[in-house]
Amino acid sequence: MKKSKRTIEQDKFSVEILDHNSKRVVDELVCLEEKCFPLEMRNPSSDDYYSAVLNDPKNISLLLKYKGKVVGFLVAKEYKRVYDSLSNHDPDLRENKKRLFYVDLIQIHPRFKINGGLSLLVSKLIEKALEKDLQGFCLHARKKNGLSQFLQKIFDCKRLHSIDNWLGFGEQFDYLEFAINKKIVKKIIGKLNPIHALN
Amino acid sequence: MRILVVSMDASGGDLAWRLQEEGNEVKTYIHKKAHQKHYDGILENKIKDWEKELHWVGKKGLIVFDYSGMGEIQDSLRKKGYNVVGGCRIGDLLEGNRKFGQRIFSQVGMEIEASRTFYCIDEAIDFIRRNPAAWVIKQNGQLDKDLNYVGKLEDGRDTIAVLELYKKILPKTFVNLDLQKRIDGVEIGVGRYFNGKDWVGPIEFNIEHKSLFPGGLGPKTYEMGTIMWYSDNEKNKLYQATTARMKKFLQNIGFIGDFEINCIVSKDHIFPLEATTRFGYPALQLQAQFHQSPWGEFLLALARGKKYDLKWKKGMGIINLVAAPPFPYHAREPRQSSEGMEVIIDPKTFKHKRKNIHLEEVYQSKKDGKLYVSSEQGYVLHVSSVKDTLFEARAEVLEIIKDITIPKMFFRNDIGAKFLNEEKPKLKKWGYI
Repeated sequence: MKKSKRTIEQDKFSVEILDHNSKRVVDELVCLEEKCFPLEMRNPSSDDYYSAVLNDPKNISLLLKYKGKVVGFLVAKEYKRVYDSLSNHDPDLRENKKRLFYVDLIQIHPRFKINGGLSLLVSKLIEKALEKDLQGFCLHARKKNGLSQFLQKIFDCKRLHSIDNWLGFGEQFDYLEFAINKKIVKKIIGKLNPIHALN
Repeated sequence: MRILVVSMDASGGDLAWRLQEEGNEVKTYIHKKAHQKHYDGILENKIKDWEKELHWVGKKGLIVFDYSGMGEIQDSLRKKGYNVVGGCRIGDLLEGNRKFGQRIFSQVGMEIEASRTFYCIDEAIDFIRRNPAAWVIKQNGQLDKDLNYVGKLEDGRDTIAVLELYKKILPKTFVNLDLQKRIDGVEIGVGRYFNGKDWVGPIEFNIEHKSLFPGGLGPKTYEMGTIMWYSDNEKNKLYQATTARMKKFLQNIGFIGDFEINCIVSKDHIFPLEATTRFGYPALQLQAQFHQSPWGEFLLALARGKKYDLKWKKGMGIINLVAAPPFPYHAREPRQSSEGMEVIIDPKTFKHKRKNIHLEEVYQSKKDGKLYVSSEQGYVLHVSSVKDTLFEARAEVLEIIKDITIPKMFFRNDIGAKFLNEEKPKLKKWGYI
C-alpha cells in the first residue's frame, strides 16, 4: 500500500522563545530527541540536559512548533561560558571571542527538516542576536546531512576548520561562524523567501 | 547449567575453565583462527559454530561474550529472550570510539581533558605544531595498543617524531587515532558489574601496569600485571565522581557485564581516560580470586537483570603475566616464536595452586599430557593471589612463579611496588581511598 504524502502547510509553523522550564516541555523535548537522533547521538541524561538548558536564562532557547506541536528545538549558549568544555573537544577553538553565541543543539523532527523548519529556527536566532546586539554565532555543523553546506550557502556562515569524529559521532563536522550585521541580514532575507517557497 | 562461551581470542578461556570446574556444561567457541588451539585438552567442549548451539543452550542457559565488537549480536540475542552477559552495541562504541566516550563522560558531569580524533597523520602533526603540548597518542578501535605513546616533551616534538615514523610505516587506511593532552597523576580504574538496571556486587579498584619493564619503563603491553581491591563503600569519592555517574546511561543502553572507567587522578582533578565495557583482562582472572560465589550463578543473575548477593574476599589482589618471547610483539620468523615450548609447572604447585594459575595461550597435549605454549606471541599465563596485604599477595605470586618454568620466560617482579611507595600515600592524602 502506498503511503499518502502529507503536505506541510508553511503558515502552520511557529517559533516560540522559551524563557521558562516546565516538566511538560522537558518531556516533549526528550520525546523529540528520540525521534531526531539514534541512541548514540542522544544525551546520556536527556531530561537533566534539557532542564539545565531551560533553567539558564542566559541561553537562547527556541521551540519550533507545527500546528501547536513541538517539532524542533534550538539552543544557543554564550561562547565564553562554553569555551572551556568545548575546547576539550576542539582544541583549535580560540578563547578571545566576544558577544558570540554557540549553537549547542539543533534538533528537528525528520519530517520537518527539509520543509522550512530549520530556516525558521535560524532566522529567529538571527533576530534574537540582533536584539541582543551580538557579534554573531558559531556552531559545529554536520557535513554528511548537508547542514554545514546549507548554512554556508543560505546564511553565509564561514567555515573555519573541519574536525574528524566530532564528539564521537564518527563523522566530520565543520566549525562555522556567522557574523551578524545589517548588510548580511538583508542579503539573507532575500535568499530566505525563495527557500520557503521551494520547500 | 548450560553455558555457551563465545570468545574472540580465548581471553575468556580461564573463565570458561572455571565455569566448567563449577560443574556446568560449558561449550566454548573461539572466533580467531590463530587462537583456536588455546585450551585444547583443557576445555572439554570446544565448538566450531556457536550459532548452531543456541538451541542447545536455550533460554534457560547462559551465553557469555568475552570481548568488545560483538555488542550488536548480544543485543539481538537478548531481544530474542536469551540470557546474555558481556556488553552491548553502544557499550562497544563507548570503548572503541574514545571521542564518544569523552563526550558521554563530560555530559554526565565528569571533567575531561582536551583530545581530538585524526584519520590523517599529517593533520595530527600539523595540529600538534599549532597546539604545542605533551600529547598522548591513543589508537582507536584496535585490540593491539602497540601504537599508543605517552608524550614526554612539553612542545610535542617527541610525539611528532613518533607520528612521522607511523607515516612511513603504516598504511593510510590504518589511521584512526586520538591525541589527548597528557595528564599527570595516579592512574586508577574504578569498575563494577551492571545487570542492565543496577549495579551488582562491590566496587572494584585496580591499578594496571602496562609497561614491559619494571619501573614503568619500556614499550606498552596489554598489561604485565595488575593490583586490585574490592570495596562496598558506595560513598567513595572516586566512585561517586566517575563510574556511579554512568548508571542512567548504562540503563538506557541495556548494558550487562563488567563496566570500568580508567582515570588519572590528582589532588584536585579526576580525569576519565577510557571505559572498558566488557570483562577486563587480567582483571577478570584476578576477580576469580576475590569471588567466593559461583561464577555461573552470578553471571546468570546479571543476564536476567536480577540482584545478586555476591560473596567476596576482602584483601589486596595481585596478578602477574608470565610471558615468553616475542611478547609483546609478534614473531616474524619461526625461530622467534615460543609456540610449542613446554610449560613446566611443579606438579604439587599445579595441584594445590591451580586456581591461582590462569592459563592463557596454552594447550595440553593428548599424547603426553604436558602443557605447551599454543601461540607464537608468548602470552602464556597469569599467576594471581589475594591476601590481607599486598606484600603477602605478591610473595605468594612470586613463590608460585618460582615453580613455573617456561624456557626464556619473563615477568615483572615489581607489580604493586610503585603503588605501595608512591601512589597509595597520595591517594589516601587526596581522600580517594
